[in-house]
Amino acid sequence: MFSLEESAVRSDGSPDDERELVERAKRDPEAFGLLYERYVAQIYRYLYYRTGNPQDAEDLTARTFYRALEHLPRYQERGLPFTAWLYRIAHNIVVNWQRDCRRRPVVALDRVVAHTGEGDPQGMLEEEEERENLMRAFQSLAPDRQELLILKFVERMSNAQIGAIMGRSEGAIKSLYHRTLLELKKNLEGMKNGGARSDAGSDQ
Amino acid sequence: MEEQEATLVLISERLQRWLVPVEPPPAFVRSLKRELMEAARRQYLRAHRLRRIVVVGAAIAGSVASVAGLTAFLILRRRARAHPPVAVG
Repeated sequence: MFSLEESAVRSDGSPDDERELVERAKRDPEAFGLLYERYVAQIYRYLYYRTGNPQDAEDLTARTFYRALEHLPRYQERGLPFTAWLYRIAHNIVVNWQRDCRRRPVVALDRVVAHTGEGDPQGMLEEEEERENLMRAFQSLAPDRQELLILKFVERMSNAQIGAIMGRSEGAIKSLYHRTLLELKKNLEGMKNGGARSDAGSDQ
Repeated sequence: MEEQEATLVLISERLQRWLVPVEPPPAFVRSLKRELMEAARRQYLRAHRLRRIVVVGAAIAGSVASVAGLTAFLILRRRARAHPPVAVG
């Protein structure tokens, strides 16, 4: 068993290091703590954009890690990054949460950094409205499409990395991204023409 | 077609501008870590106890089987000595 200090020194973020850390975490709480520290922000961000508000993101982040802890002894590495497993847990949790509570995500305007129209009140208003519409269109996308956009824009991952997490090829991700943009465009046009599409793109 | 591509580029730029990384509140991260570590310790302790129960149980079962086997062997041997087989003819 390694101490926390030793673990910190040994952790270099490489796949081998991750594999070793996951194996240790199956029997060592300190190693599980390191895994948590490494991935908590990523999972929180994912859930923040899926739920639309920080309170629910916190609640679901906690549920994700509790479930990960419970199932970790049975986790088997199958060539995918450990994050793919964590994202899958988070995805299942948020899907169940949305279904059970019939909650609709709300755009959290207070937390997302606002890029305003440089002091011009009219410009600020327009930009705010555009942002709100885009977030609404984003949240009406199918879960896999939202996941793709979060990984691409929030986590700044490459198509290959996203493919590894979502279990698809790089080409499939590229094509899904293009279809997602087209759907967003359609949703935004729908909003401009007088009403948001709430059922758009539900291909899951 | 070109117009559509331009719109998609615009949407992509807006996504880049508005889908920004947010950080979980540090107090939340710390408190969840504390709770998780506690839960992890309990879970590992339970698993350790269960493993010990299985090992000790298997050892006891093995010992009982050995003693039962030995006893059966001794009884059969004693019976065989008490009633030797009668030679035919």
